[in-house]
Amino acid sequence: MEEMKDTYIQEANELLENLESSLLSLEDNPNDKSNIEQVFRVMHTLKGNSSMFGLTKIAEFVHDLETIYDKIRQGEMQLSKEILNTTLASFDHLNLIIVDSELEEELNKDNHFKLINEIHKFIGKGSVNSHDIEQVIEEQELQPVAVSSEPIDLPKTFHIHFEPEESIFLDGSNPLFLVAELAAMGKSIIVPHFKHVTSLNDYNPTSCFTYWDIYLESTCQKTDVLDVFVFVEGNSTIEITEIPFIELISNASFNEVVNGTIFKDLKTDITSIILLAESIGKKVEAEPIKNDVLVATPVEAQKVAKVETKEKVVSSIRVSSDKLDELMNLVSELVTTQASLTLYNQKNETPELEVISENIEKLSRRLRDIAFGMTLVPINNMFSRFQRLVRDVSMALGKEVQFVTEGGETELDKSIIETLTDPLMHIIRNSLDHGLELPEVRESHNKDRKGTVKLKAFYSGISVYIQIIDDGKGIDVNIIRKKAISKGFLKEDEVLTDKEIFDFIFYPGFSTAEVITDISGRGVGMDVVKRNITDLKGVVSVESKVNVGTTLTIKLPLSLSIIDGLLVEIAHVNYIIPLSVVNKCYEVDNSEMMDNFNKLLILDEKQVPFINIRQEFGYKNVSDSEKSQIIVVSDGDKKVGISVDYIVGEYQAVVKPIGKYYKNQDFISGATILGDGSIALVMDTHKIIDLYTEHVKLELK
Amino acid sequence: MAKNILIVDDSESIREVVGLALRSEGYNVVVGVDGQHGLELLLENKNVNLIISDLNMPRLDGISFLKEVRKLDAFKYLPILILTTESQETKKIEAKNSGATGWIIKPFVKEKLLAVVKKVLR
Repeated sequence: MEEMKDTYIQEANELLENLESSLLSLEDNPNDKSNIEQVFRVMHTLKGNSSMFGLTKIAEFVHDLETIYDKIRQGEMQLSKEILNTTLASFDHLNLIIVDSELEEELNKDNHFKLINEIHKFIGKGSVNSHDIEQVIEEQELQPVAVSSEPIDLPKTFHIHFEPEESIFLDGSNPLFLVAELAAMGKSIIVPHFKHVTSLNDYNPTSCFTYWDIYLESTCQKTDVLDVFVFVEGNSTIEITEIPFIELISNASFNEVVNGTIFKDLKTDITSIILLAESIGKKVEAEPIKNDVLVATPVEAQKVAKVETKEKVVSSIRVSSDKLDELMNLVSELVTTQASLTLYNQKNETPELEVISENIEKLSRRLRDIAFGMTLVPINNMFSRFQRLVRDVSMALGKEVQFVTEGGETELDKSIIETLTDPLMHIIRNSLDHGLELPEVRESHNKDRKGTVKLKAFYSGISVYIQIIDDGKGIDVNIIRKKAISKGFLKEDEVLTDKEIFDFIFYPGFSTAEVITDISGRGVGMDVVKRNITDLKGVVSVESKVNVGTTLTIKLPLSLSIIDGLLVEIAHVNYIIPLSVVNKCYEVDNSEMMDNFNKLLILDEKQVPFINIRQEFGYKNVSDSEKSQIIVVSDGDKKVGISVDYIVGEYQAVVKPIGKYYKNQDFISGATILGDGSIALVMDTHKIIDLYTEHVKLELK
Repeated sequence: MAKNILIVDDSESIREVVGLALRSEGYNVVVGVDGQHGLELLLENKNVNLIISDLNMPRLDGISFLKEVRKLDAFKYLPILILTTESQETKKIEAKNSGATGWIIKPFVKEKLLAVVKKVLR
C-alpha cells in the first residue's frame, strides 16, 4: 500500500486541479447541472481514494464537503456564493493536507476544524472542535479490540433453508457457489430440492428451480452464516435456525432422515428435526433457539439521470520524467549512431547494408518523433492554473475580469511549461493589476465594465507563440521614452521604433515604484521574466496602444534537442539550417552575388534580399567554385536568401549546447556531431537575419 | 487457467490497489477507466470471468454500465461486483436491481476483496 501512496498523491493532485476548474466554471454558471455532477464525482473519488489509503481525516472532510454537493444535485439546496467560497477555501486546504494527512502542522489543524464547522453549517451538522474529533477517532480505533476479546465460540449445528428466486442467475449469482462456501465452513449435509418439477420440454435452464436445506456444524456465528448470503438476500428466502446439538451430521439415522427428503419439494419440519436432534445429538451449552426469517423485499430501482460529461478519455500510464529524459538521451545517441552508419554505408556501398541502414534511419526517425511526442503536454494544463489566479487577484482588486484562453491544445515540452508558469503568472498579474482599469474608469472610457485578459497559444514554424492580451489602458510610449532617457539607457535625440522603446520595459532596473504610479506599472520584475524566457531560448516582446490594450508575445522553440536540418557547407565548415524554416533552394552564379550593392537577387521573378554568409562570417568573399547555393529561409513573414557553398543534404541533428566560451554570440544555437565525428554548427537564421539588418542599418547611418 | 477480471474505475489509485491485489492471487487483470471504456474492453475480451466496477464514473456511470452489460447476451450471467462507499447503502440495492452480483465496500483490505472475489468466482 505504501508504494502506491505516490499514485494516490499524484491522482489527488489531478483530482484537485480538475475540481478547481469545475468550481471556477460553476462560479460563472451556477446552474450548470453537469458541472455540479462533476464536482460531486471528483469529491467522491477523492473521498474513496483517501479512505482506501487510510487517510480518514481527509476522507471525512471530503465526505462532509461532498454532502453539500450531493444536496445541491438532488435539488435540496441552492448553490450560493458562500458555499463556493468555502469550497474554494477547502480546496486550498486539501491541497495542503494531501501531504499532511495527519494534520501535524498546527496551522493545517486549525484551518481544518474551522472549515469543517463552516461546512457543517451548510449541511446542518453540529459544530466540532479538534478535541471531539480526536475522541471519535479514538473510539473508532478501540472498537476492533472489543470484538476480538470475545470468548471462543462453541460449535453448534445450523439448519439453513436457502431458496433462491428463479431469476437469481440473472445478476451473475451462482447459488452453488454459496452452498459450496457454506460447506467449507464446517461439516455439512446438503439436501437439494426442486420447486416446480417441470417436464424437460418446459425446462428453462436460465431459471433456478432448486433450493436447499443445509445442515452445518460449525463454530462460526449465525451472522457469519448470514454473511454468506449477503449478495442474495434481496432475491432469496433464507431461514437460519440454530440447533443447539452437535454430532448430528455424522449420525447415520439423522443422515437417513434428512437425506430422505432429497428432491422432494417438501417444507422441512424444523420442529421434528430439533426433536430428532435432541434424541441423538450431543447437547452444547444451551442457548435459546432463535429463528430468524429473512424474506426478500424487492426494491424499486431508483432512476438516475445519466450524466453527460465532456471529459475526453485518454488511457495513459505514468512514467517518471527521469526515464523520459533518459529515453530522449538514448534516442539522441541512436540518431547520431545512425548517422555514422549511413555515412559508412555511403563510403562502402554494400547493397545489403544499404537496405538495413535505410530501415534504421526510418525507424530512428519514427522513434524520435514518438519519444518527442511523449514529452509534449498540452498547454491547457498550465492555463487552467491561471484561472484561479485571475479570479483571486481580480476579486482582491475589485475589478471585473473575463479570462479567455485560446489554443490550449498547443503542445509544448513539459520542462518548458514548468519554467514558463512563473513568468506567465507574473505577466498576468501585471495585466490585472496595472493594465486593466477599474469598472467605473472603464465605463467612463466607453469600454465594457468587464475587462478581458486573453491567453493565447499557437504554433508557427518551429516556434510556439504565447500571447497575453489585455484590453486595458495600455502603455504610453512617450513616458517609457522619457523614463529611458532619464535612466541613461537612451540619448535624447536617438530615434527608435515603438517596439524598441517598449523593449526598455525588460531592462533590469527600469522598474521603480515611481514607474508604477506613472505608467501603469508594467516593468515590475520584467527583467526577470525576460531572463526566464531567454533561458528557454525564447524571445519576448511587447506591443501596446494607449487605451486599447497591451499584447505581450512570447516566442518559444518547440523542442530543444533534435531537429530536422539541412546540412550545408560554407568554406569547408558544416552548418545546419533548421529544415522547418527552409523555403526553397536555388543555384546562382557567384558573379550575381558579387558587386550586388542592393543585396537583392531575382529568384522566381521575385526580388529576394540575401545575406552573403561567407562575407559576414569573415571568410573569403566567394567560394572557389563558380556557383553558390542560395537557401531562402522564412523569418516571420519575411523571406531572406542565405548563401552557402554546397548543400550536403537533409540531416537529423541532435542539437547539443555549445560551451560557455561561445555564449557571447547568438547566431549559432548549438552544435551537432556528424556521422564521421566532425561537428556542424546549427544556425539560428532568425538571429542572423536580425543581426544583419542591425548591421546594415548602422552602415546606412 | 487463470481467471480474467475486468476492473472499471476512473480512479487510478483504486485501479492499482485492486489490480495489485488480484494479480498477487494470480488473476489476470484488465482495466477500464470508465463505463464506456469498460464496455469496449468487454467486447474485445470476451473471456472476462468477472467485472469489478466503480459506480461513480464519467461518461458511463456504474449503474448504466451494469445495465448495458446485462443487455448483452454473452454477459447475462457474468458475475459483476461493484465498488461502493459505506455512505451509499441505497446504491447497493440499486446496483443489485440493475444486475450487480455483489458489492465491495470501500475502504476494504486486500483479504476482504479477495474473499468477495472468491465468493462469486469459484
